[in-house]
Amino acid sequence: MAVSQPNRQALSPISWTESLGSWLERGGTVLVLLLLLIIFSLSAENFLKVQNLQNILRQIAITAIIGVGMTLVILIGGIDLSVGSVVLFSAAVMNSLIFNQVLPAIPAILVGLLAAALVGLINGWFVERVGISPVIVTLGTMIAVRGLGQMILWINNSWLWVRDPIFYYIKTTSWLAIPIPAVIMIVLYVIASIAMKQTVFGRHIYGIGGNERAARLCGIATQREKIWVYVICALCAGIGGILMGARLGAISPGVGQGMEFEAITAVILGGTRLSGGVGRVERTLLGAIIVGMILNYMTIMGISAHYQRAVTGFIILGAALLDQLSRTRSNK
Amino acid sequence: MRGISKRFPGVLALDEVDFSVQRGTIHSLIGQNGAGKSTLMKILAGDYQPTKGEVLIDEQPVVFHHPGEARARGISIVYQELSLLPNLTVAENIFLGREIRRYFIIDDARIRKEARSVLDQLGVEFIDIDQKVGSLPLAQQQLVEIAKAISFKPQILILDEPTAALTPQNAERLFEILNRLKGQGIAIIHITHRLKEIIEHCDWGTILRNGRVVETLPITSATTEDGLIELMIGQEVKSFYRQFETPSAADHRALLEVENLTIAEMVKGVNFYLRAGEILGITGLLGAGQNEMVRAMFGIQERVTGGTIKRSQKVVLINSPKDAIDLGICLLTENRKEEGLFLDMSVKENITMASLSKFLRSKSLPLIANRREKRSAQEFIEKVDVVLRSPEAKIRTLSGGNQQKGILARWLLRDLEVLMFIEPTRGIDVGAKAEIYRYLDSLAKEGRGIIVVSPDLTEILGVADRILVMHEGRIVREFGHVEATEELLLANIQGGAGNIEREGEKSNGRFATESTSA
Amino acid sequence: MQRQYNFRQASGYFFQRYSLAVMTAVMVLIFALVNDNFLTLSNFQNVLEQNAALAIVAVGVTFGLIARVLDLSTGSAIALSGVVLGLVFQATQNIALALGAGIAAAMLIGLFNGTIIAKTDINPVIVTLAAYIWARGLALALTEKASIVIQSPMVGFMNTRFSGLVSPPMVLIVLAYLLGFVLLNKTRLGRYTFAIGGDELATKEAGVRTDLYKIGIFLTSGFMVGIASIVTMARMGAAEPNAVFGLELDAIVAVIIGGNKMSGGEGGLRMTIFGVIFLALLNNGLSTMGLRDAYFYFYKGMVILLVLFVEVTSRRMLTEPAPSGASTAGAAAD
Repeated sequence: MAVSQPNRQALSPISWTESLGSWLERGGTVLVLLLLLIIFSLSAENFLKVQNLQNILRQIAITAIIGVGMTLVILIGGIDLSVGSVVLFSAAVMNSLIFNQVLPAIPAILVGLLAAALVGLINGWFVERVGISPVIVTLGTMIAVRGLGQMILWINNSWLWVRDPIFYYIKTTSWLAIPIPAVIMIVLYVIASIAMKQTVFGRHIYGIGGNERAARLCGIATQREKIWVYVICALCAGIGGILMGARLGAISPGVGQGMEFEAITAVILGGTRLSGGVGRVERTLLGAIIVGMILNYMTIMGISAHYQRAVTGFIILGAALLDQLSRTRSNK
Repeated sequence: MRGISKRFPGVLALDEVDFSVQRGTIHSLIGQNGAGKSTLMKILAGDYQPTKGEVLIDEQPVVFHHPGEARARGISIVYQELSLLPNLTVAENIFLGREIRRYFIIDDARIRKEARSVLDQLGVEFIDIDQKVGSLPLAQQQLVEIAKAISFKPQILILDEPTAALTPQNAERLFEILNRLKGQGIAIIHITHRLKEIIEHCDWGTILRNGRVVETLPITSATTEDGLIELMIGQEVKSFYRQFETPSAADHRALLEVENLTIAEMVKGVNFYLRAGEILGITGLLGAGQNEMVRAMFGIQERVTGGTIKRSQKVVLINSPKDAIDLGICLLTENRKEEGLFLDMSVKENITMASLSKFLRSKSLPLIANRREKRSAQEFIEKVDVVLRSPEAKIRTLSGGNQQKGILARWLLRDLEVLMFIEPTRGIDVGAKAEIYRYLDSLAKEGRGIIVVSPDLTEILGVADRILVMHEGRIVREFGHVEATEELLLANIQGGAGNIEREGEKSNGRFATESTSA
Repeated sequence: MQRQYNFRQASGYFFQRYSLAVMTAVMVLIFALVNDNFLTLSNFQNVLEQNAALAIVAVGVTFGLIARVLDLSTGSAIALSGVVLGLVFQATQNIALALGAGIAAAMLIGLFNGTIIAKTDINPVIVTLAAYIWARGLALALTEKASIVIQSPMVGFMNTRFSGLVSPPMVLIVLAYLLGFVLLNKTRLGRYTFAIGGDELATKEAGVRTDLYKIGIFLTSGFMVGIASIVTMARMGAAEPNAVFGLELDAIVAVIIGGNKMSGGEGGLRMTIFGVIFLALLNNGLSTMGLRDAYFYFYKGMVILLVLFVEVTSRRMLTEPAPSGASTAGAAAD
């Protein structure tokens, strides 16, 4: 790194532990991913087959997409527990509009996204304007919006078939061997990662998460931008709703339950700091892939779903410990 | 303490330091930031272990592995940052960590009784032991902190900048208390940046520079501030402050006029103005309303109940920092960490945070042009001389002075006409201070208007063309830099007389007519 | 020290103090009008018994919130310790041993979480979120999702209402709050719980082994979870790996609605009691109205948001004076 100025003060040189730490911080997640890939492909012969990899991508697409919004929310020091319910709600709205032939597919999907955005707006409003902790606000909307989604289902005899061909297309088609949901996921990540690095909004999010008061004193409209972040997060969940309908072929009352925790897991595995200000959105994708791979591997190895769940919990702990290790190294 | 050395990775913080204090004296430890004062005291208090050397108490060598051991040997330390818990009561705070118990139930009655007696011993009967510490004024919190240190019945009491947050009045009271403790045979080690206090109240002084003892000397009436500064920085004192070569620019236009600004319980209808090309100093005791006033002008003060602000003769509304910045006004507050820095972001990002829209590639492609941003940041880093490894280094890694320069660079890049500062050199060492004053001067010469709010009279006298003195929410007096002296300012800060108040208002009124004709 | 309040502040003060009481009264009134059976003794007994686990867990959660450690794992921990209880009973048929094992398991989970949180700087949310996932996973895996029926006189005992009035779960609630109250207000553990919530570093500097006391907080919480687990098991007559889904969130909501703050450092069990009463009545009132799940969730979520809105607004009315016609600056929301 170029020294920009003649050093008049003694600056401590970069020690090797510091560089190891920052290297871990930068590349640790990738390293873990590669390591797992090698172990899994050696021990399970079906793991590296195209069809299996496609499966993994389909499995993780929705979680990863919600993870985009969740990363932003966590970056500003918030959290959104309502995303799972928003998945159900937006899926229920769009599919009931289509099912009852109120609207054609595309406008119906847009209305579904709008409904999702509205939930985000309510979250943001309560958190920012009323000033209630995001955990509690989004817990409230998590309960209420699930109820709302289930009401829509109930009006439609508690079960909604996803009938439009557009969903069938999403479910069955691949581009260049990549399933459509994964394509959407990749596109979103590319956009988000550019936006976070190269736009004023992105930079402001880091500023707000790092030091909200200082951000406000820099002339940033912190409240408004934070509300936008909640809207974006809900919109990601809305997109998740489209894909969820396509994947399941039917919307039932339990759809999306627990997705909030899956998304948060991906964000945490990606190394984003829960208190905000530090993290990168593309690493959330890595986090989602790691979880997806591990679950897929366990399925191949015939491990029961319940043990898989238990293992997921310990993976989060392990990742957090690893992250902690790298951070204490780099700060010393 | 004999031959104390302390090595941190990459730095030798203390080099063969000998230091001793006697019972019944107040001994001052003097030096610039980074000279090793705090490190030395932390070793004495058992926070750090020395790399070399030994600590002796009453001729007996002792080794402290942690603060508890030092405390048991009668060493109490009061740190610069208060270590009290705002949500606990005074009594609970004093006995935090050593609650008196019966079996496992805390005996609150006895804790309260003991706390009361400690406070009475200090002569601060007015502090209510059942009040939450957070609801006490800062000065009283400081006293509670000292009471807590006293309650350990120390032989040696270390005070690390206890007066930094105190008003001169309260600092006086503190010294009364210290003198009483001194009379009880306690050795007091006192660290401060206020040289005047040292000369007035301390018996001995030890000067540290770059981790070595320069001199230990008795403080007498012959000791001068300049003499101490020379020893501290190791060279003759050149003027840190600005040269007032430009005649007071009376014909310059008014950048800012404030009329009848009122903030609930804090500021009672003040009027003043700021001209282009001048540095306006505002001073007063802590809580006299000066900080709140400029915060209101930046849109971050709550409970503003009335008043008008004119920017270049137009009445303006300032409801948020964004409004203020759009009007060409910025504010650097004294809370660098809380209100200025993005510690986890790079120096570059810290500098460009308020001006990002300048670097957009185009309207249709609203992306930040990285190279332009970097070049710009680099330019301003050089302009204010920030010492750093790389613009991509986290600002957390910089020294306080360089961090402050970084924030200054942020606003210079934004290119605003009115720059307001609250305590621009708080916690910054002498060298960097002088540099900051130099920038202030050159900014004023460029025709900008600068407001410096500070309780530090030397600072105000050194930089300001015009000085406003505030007392209990009112401007009581205005001085030109020629007529102002430290004694005059001090007298007015403490309240001044009624007729002076009227004079001050008259001078404001006079300007109002001038400005309309301008 | 008499403070002067203007009307706005005075009404704010009133609402802050009594808003929850007023809202509870209104809610009871509505439920009583809709449902004839709501205002009966047996229904109130039901409320207490149905929500005994929630009430007991809320004691531990209050400790956590005051110390600023949010615990998301309580529901899953109840399920896992219940399963341990069931498995031990299945193996030994010894109910005392099984109950002990259940409590021990719950405290062990607390010890595990607490140790990680105290010894590393990992955010408590991550640690307890992980436990939320793994504990439930283990509970399901160990039983293969089947419940373990407990045939013991103890179950009958727990479901008896002595002299038609008091059942053991009610007594356990009272005992849990008494124990919690003494711990929180009369012991070092409680004092340091407040201190850690106020400023952890300063507490450490005062010579307090904050790590040990943090673990202590989790052990307390774990103990409460263990008791709640027994109550839950007794109510169903079985150890149920799917039990009390979402209880952790209900407990947090109850504690917050009661007036405790997410920012920690202050609060108390008195507030928690009122929050629990409100949420328990809400749960009971909605479920006895014979609503579908959908409406139940919708109303519950909306009521929670409404209550929080009223509480926060009234708190703000107390602390801020009325806005005036200031032309310079409005209330800066800082």
